[in-house]
Amino acid sequence: MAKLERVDVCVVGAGPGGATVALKCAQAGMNVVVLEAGPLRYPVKYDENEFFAFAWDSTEVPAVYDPETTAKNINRGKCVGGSTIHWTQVCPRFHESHFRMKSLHGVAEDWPIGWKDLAPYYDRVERLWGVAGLSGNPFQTPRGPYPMPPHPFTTPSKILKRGADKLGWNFHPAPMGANSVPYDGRPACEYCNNCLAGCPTGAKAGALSVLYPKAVRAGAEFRTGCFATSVNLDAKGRARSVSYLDETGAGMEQAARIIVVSGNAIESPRLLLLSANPLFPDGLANSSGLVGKNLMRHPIQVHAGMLPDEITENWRSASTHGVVLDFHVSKKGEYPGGLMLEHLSYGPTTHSLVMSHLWGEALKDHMRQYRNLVMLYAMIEDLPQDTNEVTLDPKVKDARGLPVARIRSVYTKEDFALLAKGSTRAKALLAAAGATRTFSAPIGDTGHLLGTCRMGTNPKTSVLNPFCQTHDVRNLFVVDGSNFVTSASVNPTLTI
Amino acid sequence: MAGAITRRRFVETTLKSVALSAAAVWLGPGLGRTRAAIAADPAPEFFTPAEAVTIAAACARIIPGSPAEPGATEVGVVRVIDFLCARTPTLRPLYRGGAAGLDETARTLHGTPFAGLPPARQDEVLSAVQAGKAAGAAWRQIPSPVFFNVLQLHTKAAYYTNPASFRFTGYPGPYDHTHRKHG
Repeated sequence: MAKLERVDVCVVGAGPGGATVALKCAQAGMNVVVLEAGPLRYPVKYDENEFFAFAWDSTEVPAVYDPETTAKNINRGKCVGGSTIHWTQVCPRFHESHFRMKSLHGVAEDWPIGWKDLAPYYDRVERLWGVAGLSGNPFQTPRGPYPMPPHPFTTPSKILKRGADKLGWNFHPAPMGANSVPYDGRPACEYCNNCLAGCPTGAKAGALSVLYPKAVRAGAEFRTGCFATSVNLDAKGRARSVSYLDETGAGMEQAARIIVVSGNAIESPRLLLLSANPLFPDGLANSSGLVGKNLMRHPIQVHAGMLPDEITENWRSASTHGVVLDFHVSKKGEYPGGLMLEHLSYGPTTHSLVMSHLWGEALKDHMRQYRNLVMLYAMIEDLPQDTNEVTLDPKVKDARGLPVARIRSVYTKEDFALLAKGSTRAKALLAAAGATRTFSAPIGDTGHLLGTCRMGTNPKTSVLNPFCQTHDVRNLFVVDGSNFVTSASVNPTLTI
Repeated sequence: MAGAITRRRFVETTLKSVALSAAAVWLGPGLGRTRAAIAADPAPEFFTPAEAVTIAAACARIIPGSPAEPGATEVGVVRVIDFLCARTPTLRPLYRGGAAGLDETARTLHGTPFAGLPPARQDEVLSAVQAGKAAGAAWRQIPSPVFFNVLQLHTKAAYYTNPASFRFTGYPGPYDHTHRKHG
């Protein structure tokens, strides 16, 4: 194993968490190396063909799960940029109540940080990424103006707005990490509808389009095709180095003063568990026993409505333009979990794939109505469950001979009840917008991967402190969706 | 027994993820190139002639054609899947096992290979495959709902990205960044 000279910071994973750390540390003058298992595709360039991009570039998903209980789509991206390559770029802030589920509702745990702590960082990340939106949504915690004006409503979002107006709901421009006007050297969005396949122009913000070039300019080094196999400690119990296999499969060891794990809520706990050693026999930084626990997946269900006399022009739109946040905060006395409704615009291929249960004449009938369909989805806040977890599979190994992640994740009956409520609300909105028929895709896809290394102030009940630093190893950090204490009911990337 | 379950899970996950990424790699950005390559060489590269017949028959039930409107057969979906398999080794056991499973289930129920059944009977077999209720030893190696899910995914992706389908969905076609319009 080749040993490489010590650097200040070694980051594992170049998604939104890892690339942000790389950028900030490099700008602070530190010597930064990023190990990314996937490839680099920069400058951003894609063909215009629509395709199924939920599993974009997950050329290998070494995850094992229980087929009866786990949804089929584990949402991630193995490449520089991570899942921000295919994200729908929706960037809401959490509501202040999302951080305090235990205090307000007696469930789960409170976050060790709150809205006020994060507000200045929300401001900064919105300016860095370039977020377009409209402040003043009465259902959100009050905030200042966005860096860019909101994206105009397109045909399908206008249709949904019309329905929401009738119901007295607030269909609000989605806060979007995509340029409504030229911003930071990147062009304005052309509404080509290619968002899920990867933005062809760079108008969409993300870890690849925004963070990567800035981090490189600041001096960070990105090594692609490099798969981290363990984080190693020194004799004093401090993180010393990361062992990895480079793109040729050769074993390397990168020493660093600070080690940051940003692999996502499956690969980060997997790496910590793979790094078990005599000091931490149950997994590195796992004295709490909570590494891998409390996986949350943001259950979603897609719904479509048919408007026989209107051409909805789903293709002339970003993947989303509007959200209904009226129900994203749970009220006292209700089941504690919020839900949001979000507009979706897909081309025919993705539409047909989302409707995964349809085939034969039923599929063809449905797709003949494609130009008259409008879509949205309901996403719910799933609470952390001790039994939903990532562990190492005792038998199955990946191509490198390492145990794969075994994912056990079951939606609770409360999750299903909340999804049913989301379905009722989604269909009500579609009907109010003029839909004469509605269609629902099967429940089950993973919206986002969260939890598994949660933060807190008590080392016995959390893995990380409020600064994403492991309680057990001072110079080891986990920076990605793993640190989430609860999932909230909105898209998580801005908060990561 | 535990070993069998683990293997089953492993097979399911590995095949599924490989299949999804295969869809992305070959049906997506390279679709135009894929179609050109296929047009130049229409003979299957991976499927045996018998497998090609079985898979093509299944695709034709997922997206049936009619004289007025092409289906999976008319746009040559099976060759796209064959093209995927030829370039994605980890995808092969799924289709090889799935083709064997379809024929085995059809033989068990009706005494004839899948492609020889009338459409209504083929739909019954496919429904059982989709629901995980299909008879046959082949489905112990390849969980039948996984096979169905990947088959429907590839069939739809190959069909609905094909310009021949646009007229019937009313989709003008992908965005052209040079002319700044769709279609």
